[in-house]
This record gives sequence, C-alpha cells and structure tokens, in this order.
Amino acid sequence: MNRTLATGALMSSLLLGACATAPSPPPALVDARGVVLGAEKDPAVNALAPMELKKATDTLARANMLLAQGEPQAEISSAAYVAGQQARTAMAIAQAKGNDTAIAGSEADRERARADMRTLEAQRARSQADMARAQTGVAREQAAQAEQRASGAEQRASGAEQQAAVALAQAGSAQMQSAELQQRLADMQAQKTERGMLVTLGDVLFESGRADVKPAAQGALLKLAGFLQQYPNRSILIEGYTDDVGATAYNQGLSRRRAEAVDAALLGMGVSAQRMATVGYGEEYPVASNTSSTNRAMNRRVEVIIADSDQPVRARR
Amino acid sequence: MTQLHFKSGRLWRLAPLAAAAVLLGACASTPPPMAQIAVGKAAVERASGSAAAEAPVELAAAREKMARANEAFAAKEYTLARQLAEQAEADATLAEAQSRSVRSSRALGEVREGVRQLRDEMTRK
Repeated sequence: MNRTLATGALMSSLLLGACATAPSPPPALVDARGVVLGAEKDPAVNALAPMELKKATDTLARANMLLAQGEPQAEISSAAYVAGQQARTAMAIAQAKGNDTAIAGSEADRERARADMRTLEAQRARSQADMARAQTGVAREQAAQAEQRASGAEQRASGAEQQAAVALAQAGSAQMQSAELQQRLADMQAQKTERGMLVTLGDVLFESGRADVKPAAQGALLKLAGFLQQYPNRSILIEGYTDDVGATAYNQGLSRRRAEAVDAALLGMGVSAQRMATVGYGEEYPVASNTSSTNRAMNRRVEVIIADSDQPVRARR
Repeated sequence: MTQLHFKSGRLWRLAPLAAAAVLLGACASTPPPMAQIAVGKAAVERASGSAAAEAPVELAAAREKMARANEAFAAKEYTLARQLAEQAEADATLAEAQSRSVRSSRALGEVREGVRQLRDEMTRK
C-alpha cells in the first residue's frame, strides 16, 4: 500500500518534472470537457446510458492524461474529440431510451383511451338501444290505443248501423203495416172518424125486419174479421141502426139484435169477445133523411168502429 | 480500501506504459493500428445500415474519416491512421445513437398524436 502510493508519487513527480510547466489544453479538449461534464450532470444519461457515459469519461481521462504527459496536440485533440463524441452518444442513447419509455407509457395511454372509447361507444349504443326500445314501446302503446279507439269506433259504428237497420226495418214494417191497414180499411170503404175507423155494413146484410146476417154478406164479414185479427189489440164497437119505419122501441131492439148478430158472426170467425162491444141506437143518428127508400136503406146499417189505439171505442153521446 | 488499491494498481500499471510511450517516441516507429482500423470499419458499416436517413452528417463524417484513416494506413502514417479510425468509430457510433434517438422521438410523437386524436374523437362524439 505504502509502496503503491510512493510509486504514484514518484511517477507524478517524474512526469511533472519532465514538463516544468503545466501544458495548456487544446481547444478540442476544452470542448470535450464541457460536453462530458454536461452528460455527467444529466440524471437521465446517468440512469439510462451509464456504459456510454463511462466510455466518455474514461476517454476524457485519457485525453487529460495525454495532456499531462505532454503528448502531441494531435493525439490529445483526437482523444478529446472521441470523448466528446462518446458523451454525445451517451446523451443520444439516453434520449432514445427515454423516448422508448415514454412510448411505452403513451401506448398504455392509447390503450386506455381505446378502452375508454369502446366503453363510451358501448354506453352510447346501449343508450341508443334503450331509447329505440322506449320509442318502440311508446309507438306500440300508441298503436294499441289507436287500435282500441278504432275498434271502439267500429263497434259503435256497427252498433249504430244495426240500430239504424233495426229502426229502418221497424220503420219499414210500421209503414208496411200502416199501409196494409189503410188498404184493408179502404177495401171495406172505411172512413176515418174522431172515434176511430168506421166501417159501415149496409142493410144488404139483413132481410128487412130480420136480424140474421144474409149468407151473401159472409164475405164482407170475413174480410172484416181478417182485418181485426191482424190488429188484435184494437177494441171494436158494433153499433146497430134502423130507419124510421115501425115503432121506435121495436127499431131499438132490432138495431141491437143486428149488432149482436154481427158480433156473433165475428166471434164465430175467431175475433175475441173481449174486444167487442155492441149497442143498438134504433132510429137515432140517421145518415140521411128517411124521405126516400134509398135514404132509408142507407139508415138501415151496422157500423163497426175500430179504435185507433188500445183504448176502447168511445160510445156516441 | 479495495477501490484505492485498484486505482493505485492502475496507476502502477501506467508506469511501464508511460515508459513504453517514451521508448516508442524515441524509436519513432509505430506498429500498424490493425485493431483500430477494423473496429472503425465495422462501426461505419453498422451505422451505414441504420443511420443513413436520420444522421447523415455524422455518418458522412465517419465515412470521410475512415477513408482518410485507410489512406493514412496505406501511407504507413500509423499514428494518424489510428487517430482517424478512432474518431471514425466515435462518429459512427454517435450517428447510430442519434438515428435511434430520432426514430424513437418520431415514434413517440406518433403515439402521442394517436392518443390525442383518440381523446379528441371521444370528446367530439
């Protein structure tokens, strides 16, 4: 140990002694010292390019030693140049490695960004799907409501139509019935009076002074019975009349008997007894003056009054 | 202690080297720098493959120095040949490192731009 130290000291003194004055460094060495110092101070270079940095410092040390040894300027400058280039190499390597690390970090960033993007897209797609689904639901509901409204309207329309048809049919049948009624009454030369429809059965029905209906008059009575059966709710009043020939009391009885004869005939033809009432008015209420045989024939009659409604026929006052 | 011993050992070994240098200087005859020429040539060739685009100035300097080293070698100016070969090697190695640095800077820029575009796209959407 002591020996090495002693040898070093001896060497130094020998070298220093060889060159009495310390030689001034060439510009290349000054430059190289600056560059190497810069590299040494850079933590990135120390961390990322330690081997390259060591080469530079070693070479610079050699250049310094060459200077100390008084070697030729060209030799010192060449070594200094190499040291400077090696320091620059170390810095470039550190830069490159730093970039590589940053690239790895950025690639991670990019992957994160892509993942975020995919998440975002997925969320967006999901929300769009949700919206579309909601819209579809609303549309379906609206469609169902519209359908319901439509079917309701249709039902109402068809109900109304049915009612209309029924009403029309009723109207038609009522019209038909009324037309039929009028036709039948017209056939019997019926007259419309305030008490109801009046059908006059002339004296042709009866032999003079008798109350039996002549067989020839059966047709007219059948027609009347058929008419009455078509309208089972109408009550009827059968009124008998005579001319002024003969005693008043007799005529009164005769007119009642004739009305009853018609009543009996209609009863025989199926007209309910409950609907029918009879009355004899004798010589009263003539339709013509009893001054001629024609007029007297007109007064000898049986009038059948058919009620306009369900109410019984009002009697003459 | 070991460190000190090592340093001292190196210093110790420098003694005969210094002596040799003195002797060689005295002799004025230098051995041909075969190793340095070979190392410089290999470094320039390696850099030519990778650094041509990104570090053309350094690569050109390396080639020019290597050519001059060969000329000096041919002229038996071995000291100059060694110095030029060493410088050519340093230039070529620097060219290679700079090329690597430039390429990685460019790649980093591209990656960062990609990330930026992605983020932009996200905020725009």
